[in-house]
Amino acid sequence: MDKGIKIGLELHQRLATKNKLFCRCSTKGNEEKIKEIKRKLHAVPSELGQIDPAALFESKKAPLHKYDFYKGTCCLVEADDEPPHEMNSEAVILGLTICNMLNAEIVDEIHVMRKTVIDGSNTSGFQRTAILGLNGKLKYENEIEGRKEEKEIGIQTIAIEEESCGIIGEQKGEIESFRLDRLGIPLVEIATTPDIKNGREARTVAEQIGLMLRATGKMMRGIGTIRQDLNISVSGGARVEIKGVQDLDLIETVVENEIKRQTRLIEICEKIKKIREIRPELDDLFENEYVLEQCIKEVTELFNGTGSKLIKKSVESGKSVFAMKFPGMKGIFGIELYPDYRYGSELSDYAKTQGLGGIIHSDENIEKYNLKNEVSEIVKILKLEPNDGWIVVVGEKEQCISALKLVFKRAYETKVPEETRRADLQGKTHYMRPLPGSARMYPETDVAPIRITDSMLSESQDYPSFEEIENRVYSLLNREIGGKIIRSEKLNLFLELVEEGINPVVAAVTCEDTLKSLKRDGFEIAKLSEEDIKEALLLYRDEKITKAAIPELLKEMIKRNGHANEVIKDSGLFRISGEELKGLIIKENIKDVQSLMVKYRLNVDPQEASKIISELKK
Amino acid sequence: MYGEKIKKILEFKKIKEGDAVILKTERNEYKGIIMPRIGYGDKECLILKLTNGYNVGIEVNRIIDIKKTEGDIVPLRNVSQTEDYKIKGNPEEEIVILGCGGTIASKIEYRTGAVYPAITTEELIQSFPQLKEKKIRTRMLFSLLSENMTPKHWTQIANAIKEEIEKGCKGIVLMHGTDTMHYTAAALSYMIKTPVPIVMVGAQRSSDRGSSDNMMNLMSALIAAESDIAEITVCMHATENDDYCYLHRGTKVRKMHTSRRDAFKTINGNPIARIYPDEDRIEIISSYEKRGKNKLIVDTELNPNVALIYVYPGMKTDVLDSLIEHHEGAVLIGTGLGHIPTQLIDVIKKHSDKKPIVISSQTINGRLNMNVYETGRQMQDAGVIGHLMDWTPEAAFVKLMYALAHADNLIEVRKIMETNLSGEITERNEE
Repeated sequence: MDKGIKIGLELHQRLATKNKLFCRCSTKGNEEKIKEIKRKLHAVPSELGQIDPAALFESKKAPLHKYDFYKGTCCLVEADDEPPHEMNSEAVILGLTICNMLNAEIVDEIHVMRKTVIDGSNTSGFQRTAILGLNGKLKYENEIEGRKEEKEIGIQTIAIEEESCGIIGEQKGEIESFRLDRLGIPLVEIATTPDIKNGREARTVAEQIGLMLRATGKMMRGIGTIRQDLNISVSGGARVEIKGVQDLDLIETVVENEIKRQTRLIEICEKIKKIREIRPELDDLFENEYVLEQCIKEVTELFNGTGSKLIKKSVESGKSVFAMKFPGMKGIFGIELYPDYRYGSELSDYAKTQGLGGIIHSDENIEKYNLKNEVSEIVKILKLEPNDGWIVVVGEKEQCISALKLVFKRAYETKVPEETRRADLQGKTHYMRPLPGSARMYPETDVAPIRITDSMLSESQDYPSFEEIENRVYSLLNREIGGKIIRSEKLNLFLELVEEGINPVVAAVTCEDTLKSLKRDGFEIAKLSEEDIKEALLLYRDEKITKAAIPELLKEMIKRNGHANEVIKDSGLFRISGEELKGLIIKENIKDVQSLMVKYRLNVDPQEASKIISELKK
Repeated sequence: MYGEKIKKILEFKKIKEGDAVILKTERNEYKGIIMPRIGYGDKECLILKLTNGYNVGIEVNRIIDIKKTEGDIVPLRNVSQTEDYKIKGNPEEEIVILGCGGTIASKIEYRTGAVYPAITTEELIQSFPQLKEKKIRTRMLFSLLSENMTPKHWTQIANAIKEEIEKGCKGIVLMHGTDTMHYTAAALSYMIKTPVPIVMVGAQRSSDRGSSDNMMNLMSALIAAESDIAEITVCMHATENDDYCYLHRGTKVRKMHTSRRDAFKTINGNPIARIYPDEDRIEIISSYEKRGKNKLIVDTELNPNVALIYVYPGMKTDVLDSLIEHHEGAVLIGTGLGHIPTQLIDVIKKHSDKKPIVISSQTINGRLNMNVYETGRQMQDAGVIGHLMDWTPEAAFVKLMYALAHADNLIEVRKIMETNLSGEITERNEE
C-alpha cells in the first residue's frame, strides 16, 4: 500500500568531545549555577523584508527567556556576549570519520552557517551548523515478513552543529527557563534521503546509524544524547517534520500515526473544500481579521455556577470563556485521525500554542463535561444551524481570541499544512510551529571557513571497524545475548564494564534484560545513569552483593534517587559470605541450599552456600 | 574575490555570482547557487549554496563540469546611496535619527552574510518595525566602521546636528559604531551646547540575529531623546540582561569590554539615568542639564594634531621624543596615579615649554595625583598637565584638540584643560 509515502530521517547524536564546538567550555556537567541571564529574542526580517514564519510565530509566543549559567560549562560565548572561537577540531575530525564511515563525499572547505531559531533555545537567535559530507550511503539489513534483505539508504548530508539549551520550565508562557550548559555541545546530524517507505524501515535505519556511531566509541551516552527527527509526507499531503523522537521503539508508531493523520486530513480537506464552496462568506473571514474577531463571543456569564468543575474553577479565578461558531463543521471535529486523536485534538494543539489548556468542541460528549445547559445557550447565542459546529475555550481574553483565530484558520484549511510537530511519549504528534522557510540559513561570518587538509583526512581514517567490535563482543558472549548487546545503546557501557573486570554475562544481562524488565514493571529507568549502573555492578564485582541482588539494588536506587554506595547501606542487600555465612548456616541449622535460599535469596551466593554446607556435612 | 582558476572557469562558462548551477565532481552532482567569496578562506574553493541553504566549499580542481541552469537566480544586492529624508509633520515634535554606520545601522545580505549599511528610512523601519509608531525623521550622514572615524567626521556630525536642531526637533539620536563611540561623544560634548537631548547609540550584536541588542538600545535612546536630559549622552545596555539601559555622560563614558552588551561604563561617576524601554520609563540617577536651559552653540574648531601615547616599562626616550616632536600636543597614558618611567621625564622637559603634555592613567578608574611620589612631583616640575584630574584618556585626548584650537598660548591651553567644560572632570568621587 504505497501512498506516495516519503520518509526521511534526521538523526542527531551528541559527540563526546572534551570541549564545546565553538568555545573552550567543558561538555561535562557541573551543577553549580553561578548566575542567571534574562534575554529577549525578536523576529528578524530577512533581506526581502520577510520574517520567517516559524521565527515570527515563536517571537510572538515567548517574550522573555531566562538562562541558568553554570560554572565550567558556560562562558560568554554561550551567553552570546562573546563571538565564537574556532570550530573544535576534535569535533571536525570526528565528523570526518563519520563521513568516511558513511562513504560520503567530504567538502573541501567547511562553511559554518547560522540557522535562525528564536524559540529561545539558542541565546544568539540561531544555531551554528556546517555540512562536512554529502551523498553518502548506508547498507543495512531489512526484515520483510521474516525474510532478510540487504538494502541501502542514501545519506544526504552529514553536518556538525551546536546543541541547543536545555529547557527547564515554562511559567504561564511568559518566561521560559533554559540551562546554558547544554548549549554548544557538538552534535552530528545525519540526514537520509526521503526513500524510507514505512515505520519499520525508519526504525531499522535509525538503529543502524546509531550502531555505527556508537562503534566509534566517541559518542555521548545517556538520555537525550541521541534523537531522531522524521520528515514524512504522503502524496497529496504535506511535508511534516516531527521533532525529538528519543526512543527507537516509538519510531514505528510515530510514522504510522503520521501516515494515517495525513491520509485522513486529505479526506477532511475535501469535505472542507465543499463547505467553503457552499459558504463563500468564510473566505472573507480569512482575509479580514476584524470581521473574524466579531465572530468570537464572550460567554463567561453562562458559566457562573456551571456544573463543570474545570471551567468553574477557571471562571472563579477570573478567566473568561469564549465561543465561536464553525459553520458546516458538525461531525468533522470528531473524525478520528488515528486512535485517540481526532480532528478536534489537532485543533486543540493549535490553541495550546497560545497558552490555553485546549478546546471543547461540538463533537465531544457534553455530558462528560456537565455542560448540557450551557451548550444549549451557546447554540442560541451563536445562532447555530443544524450543520454548524462550535468551539469553546477558557483563559485570558487575549489568549482566547488569538487561539480561536488560529484554530479557525487551521480548521478551514483546504490542504494539509506543512508543519513542525513534536512527538510525545505515546507516539502521538503535536503541532509546534509552521515549517521553517528557506530564509532561515545564512553564513556565520564570525567563524572562518575551514579548509580540509590531507592531514585532517588521514587523522579521520582512524576508526574501529564494526567487525572488530562484533568479534570482541562474540568472544565474550553467546550469539543471543551478544547480538542484543551489539544492537544496544549500552554497547559502550558494556565494553567499559568488561574492562572493569565485571563478568561479561552479568554486565550484558544487566544492561539489556534487567533494565528492560524494570521498565516493564514501571520503574523509571531514566533515573539511572551509566555511572549508577557501573557503581552497582562494581559492588557485585567486589563481592559486596550477590547477582540476585543487582535488580533489587537498582530498584532501590530508582526509588530513592540515590547512588549505589549510599543506597546499599541500609537496604539489607549486603552479601553474607565467608565466616558470617558459615555462622548463619550453623545457627539456623540449615541442611540444604534450597531452604537457605528461600530465606536469603538476595544475600547469599548459592554456590558458596552449597560449598559450605557440604563442608559442614563432612 | 575568487582566485584566477575559478575566475577563468566562471568567465568561460558565463557564470556570474548568484547564478544557479549544476556542478559535477567525480562522484556526485550538486545543484546550487554560486556565492561570492568574502573575506577569508581558500580563494580556489568555489562556494556553493546548496538547495537546503547550506554553503559548502568545493576545490576548483575537483570540479569536472559546471553549467548554468534554470531556476532560482538570485540577484545579489546592489547598495544604492539614495537618501530618504523629509520632514513630515511638525519638526519640533520629531526625533531626528542620524546614521553614521556601525553595527546598529547595518543590515545583512542573508545569502552571503555580507554586512552593509541601512541607508534609507524604509530600510531602518524594516529593521526596527517599532519605529513606525514614533515621530521620526532620519538622515544618513555616512557609513563608517567607527575605527575609521577621524576628527573631520566629528565636525561633520556636529554640523549636521546643528542643522537639525535649527530646523527644529525634539531630540537627536545618533547611530554610531561602538569602537570609538566614546571619542565622538567626548568631541561632540566639547563642541556643542545643546537645548535638546543628543543621544548616541550603538549595538554590540549584529542586527541579523534575534538576540541583537540594537532594538532595546535604540528604543531606550528614543526615550532619552524625548526626555528632559539635554546633554550629549551614550545609551547602551546596562547589564548583560535585556532589562534596562544606562544613559552615560558623553565625556565620562568608555567602552570597557570587547564584546559584552554592557561594554559601556561611566568612569569615575554614575550614569545619568536608567531607561526601561518596556515600561517607557526613565529613572534619573545623577544631575543633568535640563532641556531648553542652554542655547544652541556649535563650535567645531579642533586641532587634530594631538598624540595619544601609551607609556610602557622600558619605553625608549627617542620613541617618545619622536612622537611628541611630530605633534602639537600629547596626552600620555601613564601608570598608576599618572606616572611615567623616570628616564622619560627629560623628554617631557624638552618639549613642555612649547607643547602641552597632558597625563591620564592606564588604570582608567580613579583620580590622578602627582604629589604622592617623587616621579609625580618631577613630572609636575616638568610641566605636565593633569594633576588631580579624573578624566579618561580619550576625553583628555579630544579635549586637548579642542583646547589647542581655542587658545593662543600654553597658559591658556592649561587653563582650558583644567576647567571642567562638559562634565569630563569631577571633583568628588564617591566610589
